[in-house]
Amino acid sequence: MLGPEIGYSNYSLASHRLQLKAAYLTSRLEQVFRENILRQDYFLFSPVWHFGRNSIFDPTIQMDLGYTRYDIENGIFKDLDNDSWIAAAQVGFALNLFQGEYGLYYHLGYNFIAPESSMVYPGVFGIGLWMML
Amino acid sequence: MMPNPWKRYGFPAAGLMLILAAACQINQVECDQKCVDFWMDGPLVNDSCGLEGNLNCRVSTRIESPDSLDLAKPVVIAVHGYTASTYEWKEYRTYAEDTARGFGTVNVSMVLLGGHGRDIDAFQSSTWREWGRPILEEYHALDSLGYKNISFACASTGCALLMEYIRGGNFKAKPPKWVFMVDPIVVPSEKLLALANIVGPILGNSPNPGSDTENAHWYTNRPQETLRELYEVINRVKNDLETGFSLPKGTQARVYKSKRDGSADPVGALLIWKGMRKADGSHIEVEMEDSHLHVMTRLKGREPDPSHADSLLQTRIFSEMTFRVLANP
Repeated sequence: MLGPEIGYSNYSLASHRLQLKAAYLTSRLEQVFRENILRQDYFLFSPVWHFGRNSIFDPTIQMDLGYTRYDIENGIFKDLDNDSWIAAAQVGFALNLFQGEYGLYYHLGYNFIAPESSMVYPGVFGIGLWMML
Repeated sequence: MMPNPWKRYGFPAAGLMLILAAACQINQVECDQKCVDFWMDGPLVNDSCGLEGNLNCRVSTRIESPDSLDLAKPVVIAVHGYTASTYEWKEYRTYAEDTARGFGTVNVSMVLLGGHGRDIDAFQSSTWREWGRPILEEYHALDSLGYKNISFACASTGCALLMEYIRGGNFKAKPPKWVFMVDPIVVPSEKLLALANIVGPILGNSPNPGSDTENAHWYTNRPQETLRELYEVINRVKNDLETGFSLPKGTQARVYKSKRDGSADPVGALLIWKGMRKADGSHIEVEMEDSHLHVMTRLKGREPDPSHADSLLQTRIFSEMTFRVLANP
């Protein structure tokens, strides 16, 4: 899954330790090299707590709350449960580079909602690049 | 004064190790007296098709010297699923070889997967490659004997193994006529299986006891090693489907998938429909069944008893499969 994410944080949000993020992730771009992949979308809201905002290595914990769905593509499959809620907890870290202007993050964790009929698994992780706007 | 690092980290770490070790001990495969006497897991109960000298299950051994009439009859190689045995296809064999005999004879060759139908130790040490080997052995044996009309019927993990062989081009030289898939597993309903490599060593074993009949024909214990093998093969097939592959030229496929299934996520049917095409690039046939049964080819020994609708559905699927392999190309 690939997609854009936008985050917001300021000093009044727990001295910059709390960051609020929203993301849209999709498998649609992967169709370029895996043409039969299910077309799946994730819409996520993620509060993140930063433990080391002012250091290069910044451990984080976060929740992911959201919704996911995939395209059914043909009437044969109209009865499939093609959507699910998401509630995940993750730990990870951010690398604050160039005085915090740019950085990398990585996190992994567990999704508590993985229904029998879904394309949602309990193990989750994320990796990304960010820049300050 | 410097804090003692052993006190700070050592005791909690040792405690964690003890808990993990205890968890492993609790979930080790155990076979008590009931298991030994009545369950497939024990040494006394075996699938009869796995017994040495039993030539009755595979068509290649049942008919020693097939004549031209035998060779012209369709053969369906029936492949069962994970922890199961040939019992999963016995009802179809009875239907195709006896009940539907008036319409023409179809011989059903019941293949026992490697590591299955014996005892839990044989299962625990087996790999998915070993599970699938008898499928190819029977196919090549029938081909070398001269059978012209060979088809496959598979259930659950048997279908994942079969798709892996199709993608690998194992049937290109002599394409099967039909591939019937009943509740193929590509995505597990139990999503924790995806973490088998991580939680498997902690959990150790995931016993899944059923009715007395099921315990005698399915492994009740599911050692973590086999769960890892299972996830490896189905994840491999899922990736193959996402990339896409074709059936051999002349082969057709039909998928029967229960809409509610506690073992194989129904979304797998969509992945197969998208990813496994006929040789001309068109889609295969898929039918989503209004059922909650996993592998409705077997109704006997289920608790609670299957409904009348389930029986009707099973008969319809059996007759469709039989007529399709009997029909002229």
